Amino acid sequence: MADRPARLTGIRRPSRLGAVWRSYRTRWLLWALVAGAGFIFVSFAWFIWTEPPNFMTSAVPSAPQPSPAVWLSPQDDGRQVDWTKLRSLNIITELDHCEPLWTPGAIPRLESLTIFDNISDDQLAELCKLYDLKSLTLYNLEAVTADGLRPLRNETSLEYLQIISLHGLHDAPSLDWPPNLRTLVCDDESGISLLRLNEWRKLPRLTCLSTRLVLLEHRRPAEMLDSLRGFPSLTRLFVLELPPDFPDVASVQRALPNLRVRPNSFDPVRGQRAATILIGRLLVIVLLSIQLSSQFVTPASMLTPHFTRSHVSPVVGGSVALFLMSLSLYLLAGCSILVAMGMCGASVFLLASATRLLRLMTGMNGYQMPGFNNFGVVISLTVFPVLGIQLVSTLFGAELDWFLRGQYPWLTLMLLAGSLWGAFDLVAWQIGLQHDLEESGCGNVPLSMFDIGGWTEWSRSVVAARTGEGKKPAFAYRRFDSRIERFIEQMQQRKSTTSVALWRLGGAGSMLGEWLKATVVFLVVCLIVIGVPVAWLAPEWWSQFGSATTAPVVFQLLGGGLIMPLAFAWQRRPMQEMELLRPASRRDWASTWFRGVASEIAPVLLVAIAFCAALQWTGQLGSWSMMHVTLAAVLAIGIMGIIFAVGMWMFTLTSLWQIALVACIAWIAVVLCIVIPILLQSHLHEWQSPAILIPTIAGLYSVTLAWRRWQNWEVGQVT
Amino acid sequence: MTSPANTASVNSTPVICTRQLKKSFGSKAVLQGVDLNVPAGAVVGLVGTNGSGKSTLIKCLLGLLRPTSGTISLLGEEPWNLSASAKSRLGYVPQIVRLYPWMKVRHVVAYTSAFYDSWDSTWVETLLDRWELPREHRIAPLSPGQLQKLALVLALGYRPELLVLDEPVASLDPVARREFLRSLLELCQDERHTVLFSTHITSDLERVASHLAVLKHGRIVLFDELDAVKDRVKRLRVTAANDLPPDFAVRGALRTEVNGCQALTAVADLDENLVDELRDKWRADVTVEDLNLEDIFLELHHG
Repeated sequence: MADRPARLTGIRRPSRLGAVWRSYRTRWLLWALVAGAGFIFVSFAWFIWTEPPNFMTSAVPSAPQPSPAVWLSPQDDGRQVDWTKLRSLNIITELDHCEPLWTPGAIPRLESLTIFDNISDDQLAELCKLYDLKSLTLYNLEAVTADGLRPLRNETSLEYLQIISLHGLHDAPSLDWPPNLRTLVCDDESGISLLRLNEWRKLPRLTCLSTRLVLLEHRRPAEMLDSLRGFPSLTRLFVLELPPDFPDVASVQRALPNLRVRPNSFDPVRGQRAATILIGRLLVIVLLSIQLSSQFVTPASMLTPHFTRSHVSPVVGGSVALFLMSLSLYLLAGCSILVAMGMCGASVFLLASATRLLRLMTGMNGYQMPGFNNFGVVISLTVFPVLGIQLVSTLFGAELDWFLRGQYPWLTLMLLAGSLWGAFDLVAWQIGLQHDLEESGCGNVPLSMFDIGGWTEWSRSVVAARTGEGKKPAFAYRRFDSRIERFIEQMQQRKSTTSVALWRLGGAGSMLGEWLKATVVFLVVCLIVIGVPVAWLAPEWWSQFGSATTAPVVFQLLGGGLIMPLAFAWQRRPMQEMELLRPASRRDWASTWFRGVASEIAPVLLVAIAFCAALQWTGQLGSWSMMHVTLAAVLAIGIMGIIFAVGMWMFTLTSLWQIALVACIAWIAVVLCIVIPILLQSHLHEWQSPAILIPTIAGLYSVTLAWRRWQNWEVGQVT
Repeated sequence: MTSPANTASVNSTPVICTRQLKKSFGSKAVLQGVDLNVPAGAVVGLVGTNGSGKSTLIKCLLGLLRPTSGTISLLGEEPWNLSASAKSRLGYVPQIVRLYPWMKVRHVVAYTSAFYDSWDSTWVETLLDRWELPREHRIAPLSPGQLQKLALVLALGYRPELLVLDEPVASLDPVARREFLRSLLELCQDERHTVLFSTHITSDLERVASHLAVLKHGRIVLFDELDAVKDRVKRLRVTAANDLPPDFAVRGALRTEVNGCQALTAVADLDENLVDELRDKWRADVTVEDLNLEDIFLELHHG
């Protein structure tokens, strides 16, 4: 009886495991993703690890710079500046050089002002008279007297004040400060006097203070700490220099438990390295998840003896190896051991959360549109890197660094608990996949996100019959159904443009809408999930949250909008046998396809250009003019032409290696799409070179080649 | 059973005509010189073993694959550049049916109808009812059999002049197969429609086909009217007075089995002289047996 299981299965356990491992090796999609993941990971690692170490970055909230903003240098005469719209002005030249600043009504919308030059009492008084500033940064107060600061008393709108040095004002018995100040940054090298601290303590709305905790009076720090405890609204304290007897910022934090005490600056490289490892781990876990779901989606997963153990074991083994490897990397990156473990779990937690969220969104535990289940992993790959790196490691880099140094133990423990839940949830879902699919009547529906069938809300009537739930289709599908009927009517009237319109509706168009809907909802949820803690933990950064997230999120959506039509159109490839035999010539058939896909991609291009123009209009593109936007549009058209042509070319290929090669070319084109503008941005004068037309010509030529290829495409080879 | 199509007199103008048609995929030659003339009004059953090249031949005929060499004429045109008007007279059901999973059954029907002027809505509705296709169901969850039924409805819906079907009943249950054959007969009863269909179910072929084409090793080894084929291909049971030699051979034999004084042989083209010749040469008693299509197919491929 002992060897009965072996006789039953006919395969011994080591051989079973070997067979499972071979299934990984022979899954081309997996290797394609591994190659892509490796490329991305190495790219990130290269960029991050070549950063100079110990390059400290200020952790203090910088002065708000509402757009449009201008930096006025000695070489700049300011003629190109639209002063009437200007909201932020940074003067790095002599104050007198900026004539409009002193002209009443010349800069009516000015909110933020930074002055590097010496400022006098009169000038400060004049500025206070002319403007209702919200933010003021003064680098040099050598010429200002105690009386000269008096006009600040009436600046009720001023919320942010940064003073680099108080110089001769330390001994002044009293100074005047804006009454509604929220953030005060005073970086005086010589320290701070108890007099000033007591004055600041009287500011009722001051929530954020950055200064050196060294008293000029050479007293023991106890008095200073007592004074800091008495601030009515203060929540955050940034320490530029530690008080005597305090070895580190954490010890000050312990002495001031009601404040969030942070170092004035931090090493951003630690956070960037941690984010890189997080993304790398996320990629590998996503691949494992896709592989696991492809294994458990077959009936064999329920019927084959020992299937679950054989297929989960490699994943568990791989996860443990990955865990140890990434734990070492996190420790090398300078994280504490507990944080390193928490960060290892963060990838699992993020993926599990994304998958669970999408399953909830699509209803019936996700089985009505099974493609959405794995779509969660794609969204994880696109959303979290942007939110994780763009926001957390840059906007909240200081907090991230504080966390990585082990100063948020409760958050680390939550992450560990979340990752345990995530790992259990993901594996349990995968193991029960086939059973759940069969139970919900989805046995025939492809689960893969790469098959458009899995994106179809196909089974409402079947599911309703089984479960007794409502029979009405979702709102999006009601619209889809009525639209397709309307288009079919038009089609029957033989209007020239309706074939393309119908193609769009039945093809990428409708599914793109579903994708967009899911992505937008997901992004909103993610922004809320991240935004609420930000508002709570770091309210002074809240104002920057919107501007920091809008552009990455929009460009991410546009990037998806560019690739998704091609990906969805790919799903119609097997139907081309029948479509080519519709009453239309080969040329007309190809033309319909080209126009259809192009009409899917064109709006993305238009929105991207419009968005760039809007950014330029609101001054968020720095020194870009509308000419730059126009040239960028020309460049984008060329590069999108290449991507379009490569995508169309891929339809005609049957060899896996050919497809992989063309996919690599597409990848390079996408990289060019990102890199070229960045390179050209740093060499603005080269924008007007004829070289800018090279991508456009290449794009047009690529489309021509793809068109010829379609004319000679043996459609019958597809199936 | 003899079908109306079987007894129909067919038009002499070929709807499909191939000359030395060859098709290779890399170094693998699939079609090695196919010569085929399908007259108008014929219902041709194309049979062959798995991998014999039936689907490749059909795809070359339809312009879905480009021939390596040779010529093809389909409805009087070269298939690779088939005109829109020729395509409007052509129907096709592939072996693996792929339809739009995001549409409902009625959407696909309406969508397809939009392409054809000669769409027969009444007949399509009849067929949908006859085959119990749920109009409100989306395509994705349909079973392979339901998909095949739907593809047949779409192909029959505009009563194409030439209907090409690649194993159209492979996934159908017996009832649906009967319904399909009935529909095919309805289509062909006016003797103006030509059908070419590949199949492995020879009993179906016997019900509706007027002609039989056998594809073997990339060539058409037999093409004739079905009745003529049945008349020509026979099995001979030879019982000789003495043991027959191991190299016992019969002229034109497809296959021969010798067992002592008895031999069983199938011939592709029986004539009275052959029977007399055997009787005289071996002093044998020769019995001529009729073969059904399945037997003919087996004999052809055992040879």
